[in-house]
Amino acid sequence: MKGIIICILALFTLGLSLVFQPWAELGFCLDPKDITTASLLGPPLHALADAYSGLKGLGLKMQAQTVDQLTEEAHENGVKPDPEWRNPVLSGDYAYVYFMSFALVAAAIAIILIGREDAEEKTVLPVKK
Amino acid sequence: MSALSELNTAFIGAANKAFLVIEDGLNKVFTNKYNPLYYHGALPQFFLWVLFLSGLLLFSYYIPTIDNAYLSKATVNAWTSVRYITNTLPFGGVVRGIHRYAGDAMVLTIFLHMIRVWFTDRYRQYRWVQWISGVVLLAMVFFIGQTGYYLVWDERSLLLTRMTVSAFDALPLIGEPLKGLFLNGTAVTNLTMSNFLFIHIGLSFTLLFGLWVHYMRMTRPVLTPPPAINYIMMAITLIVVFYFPIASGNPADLNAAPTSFEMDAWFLWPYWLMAQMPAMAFWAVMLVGTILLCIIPMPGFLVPKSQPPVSAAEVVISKCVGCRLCAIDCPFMAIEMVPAPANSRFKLLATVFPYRCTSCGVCVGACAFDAIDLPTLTDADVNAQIKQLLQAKA
Repeated sequence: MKGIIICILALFTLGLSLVFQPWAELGFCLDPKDITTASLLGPPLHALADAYSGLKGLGLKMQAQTVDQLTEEAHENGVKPDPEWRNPVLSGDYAYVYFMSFALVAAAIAIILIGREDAEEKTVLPVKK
Repeated sequence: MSALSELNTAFIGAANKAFLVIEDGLNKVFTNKYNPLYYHGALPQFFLWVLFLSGLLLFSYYIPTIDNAYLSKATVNAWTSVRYITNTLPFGGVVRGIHRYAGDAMVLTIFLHMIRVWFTDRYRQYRWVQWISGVVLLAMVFFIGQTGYYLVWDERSLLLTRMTVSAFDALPLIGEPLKGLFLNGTAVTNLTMSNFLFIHIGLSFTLLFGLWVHYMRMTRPVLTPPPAINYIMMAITLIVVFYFPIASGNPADLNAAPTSFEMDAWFLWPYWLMAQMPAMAFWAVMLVGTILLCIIPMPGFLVPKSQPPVSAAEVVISKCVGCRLCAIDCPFMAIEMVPAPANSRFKLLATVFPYRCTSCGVCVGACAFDAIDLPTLTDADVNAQIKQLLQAKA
């Protein structure tokens, strides 16, 4: 059971890191003001959909080296950032670390689950003399 | 005991019980290996490493000047370099946010550390070295954090600088020299900004020396939380960075006179105090507060219970084989191994520093040769007590 939970957590950590990274690195729309308790996943998933629709246009044209160039290419291919955000790259950076924090928590829980049994064994005190 | 002492005893007893209840609860969830309360000293240290790393990254692009002639596009100064870091560099804003909030987290975890040390009675006897060095370190951390706010060189920085200068002005004799040292001259110039940067970075590394003093009388101090706790602390920091991204205020203009700023309670509370009272009253409050904090561990000051006399452990020289187990296990570094006399079969002999010994008895438990004992609580006494208890239970 513990192995299954750890595998799920590992996949979750990997998924958060890899799936959201392209979207975040290219700086797609995400206004942190829209993140509310009731809609934690709404805006990011919406932005992810935008990202992949925009990414199709980019195809193999991603030769840009800098974040600004990547953003410009994404815009040329129809990806629309949130106009209220001064620099869409920034929202991507912040969103990336936001999701990375969940990946970190998942990794921490996995480590605690793995190490838990070791800790319980170590509380047995050796008999003196 | 006086009424105040009894009240103090009751309060500390209740607080201790509350801590133990929380500890028990966290142990059930995390086990004692991952209980964050057991790493209350290591957590500020962890955030210090985060601050060093994020600070190094910011330092790579920071320009410590105040030039803002005509605020042209080509102006390169502290404010524009911070704006470049925040708005243009990939993850620059994130690293800036991590640096800012790791600083706040360090102050918060230091307070939790102080509270726990106080309520678990770990500041007593010769641990006053740790307590007083901790107070000095706390003052240094506050000052370092304040210099961080000066470095942004927005309107808040200018107002904070002016408030600090006017506070120094009020001090007799040492006021002028302190002002000169602070401004690196007689007015705010580019040299002032380099000075702030030097203080911010130099004093941060001096913290490491202070921490050496803080740790040196502890055996095996825990300096690093386990990775799982580090990940969770970073995750919390990153979530805060996301919800509260950092932005600078308007660039500082020496010809202007800003009158208010956004308060960061963790580091800028002395400026709030400064605004409430005359400068001399402010210095008096800071001095008295620091002295009170330092004398907390002194005997007779708010002592919740009477202190029993400490009888240092004694080594039975004829039985000591120099195995070093007592010296390794002693939590207070009160036992040292010295060369054994020339006629001894063994190379080393344990010796106790009586002024460091707290009669905890760990050495007696560590010794496999009955070669060290507490004079007021011998093995025979302990065995007799155990037999008594067993007979009473039977």
